[in-house]
Amino acid sequence: MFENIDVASLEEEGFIGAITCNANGAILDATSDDLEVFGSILGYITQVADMIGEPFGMDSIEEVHFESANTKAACIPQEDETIGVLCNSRANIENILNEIIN
Amino acid sequence: MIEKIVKNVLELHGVDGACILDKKGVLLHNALPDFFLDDFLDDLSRRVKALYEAVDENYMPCDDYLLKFPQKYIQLRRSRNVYLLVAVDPSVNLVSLRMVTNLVLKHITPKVLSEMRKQLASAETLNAAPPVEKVPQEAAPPTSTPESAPTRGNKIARPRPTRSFRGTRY
Repeated sequence: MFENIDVASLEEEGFIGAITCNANGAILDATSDDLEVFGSILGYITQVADMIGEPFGMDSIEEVHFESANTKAACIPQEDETIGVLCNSRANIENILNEIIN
Repeated sequence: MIEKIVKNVLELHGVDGACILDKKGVLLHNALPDFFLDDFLDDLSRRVKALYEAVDENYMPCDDYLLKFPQKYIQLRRSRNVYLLVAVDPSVNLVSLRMVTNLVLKHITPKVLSEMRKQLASAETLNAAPPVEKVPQEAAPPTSTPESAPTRGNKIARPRPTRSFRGTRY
């Protein structure tokens, strides 16, 4: 999935890596080998986020964005997989998502 | 005091409501819109806590989340003392939202937190049912059993619909 993205150019914008996992948590694709830990939480984040909204009438979650002190991340559930994108804290993650997904 | 600070958040265009939970998940202040039904707020706080704890334990501490649902966004923020949940319209200015929620988190110091807990405790005392007056035993009408007394927290068990998320039942 990520073979067509220009990683070097995105890294200049603060991109660290991107990963795709299936519903079982298995890694389908990743831009680097050190995203395994990041990938492992994507499924759980998606499920809990869905359960937070479901009792209040929300449809399935479309995106989860989360931030630590040094990083920004986005988790985007797709049909049978979840895409995770990790950036540094100064990155404009919306721009990076647009470049990766569109 | 906290009402005034939270009001700054609620006044922002696109904000539907907000609530404050302590680190144990106890709801300290509730200004959520009506569609956040009271019956599900316990589940909400439990799941928010679970989300934070799971990511802290298995990845790295993350204080800010933005959950983008098709209808609404839910912003979750954490300070040293509390969790702040804000329900917003997707059209909200997220930069402004971050600024006003920064203020809320900054103002909830341990002292303010203890005041909020005191207010909560006194509100619960006021809401509690008044003590039943003692009447002579002969004239006492049949009283309901404790099991039948409707009290907050004793929810009627009702079957939840089986739901599945991309093939996984939960």
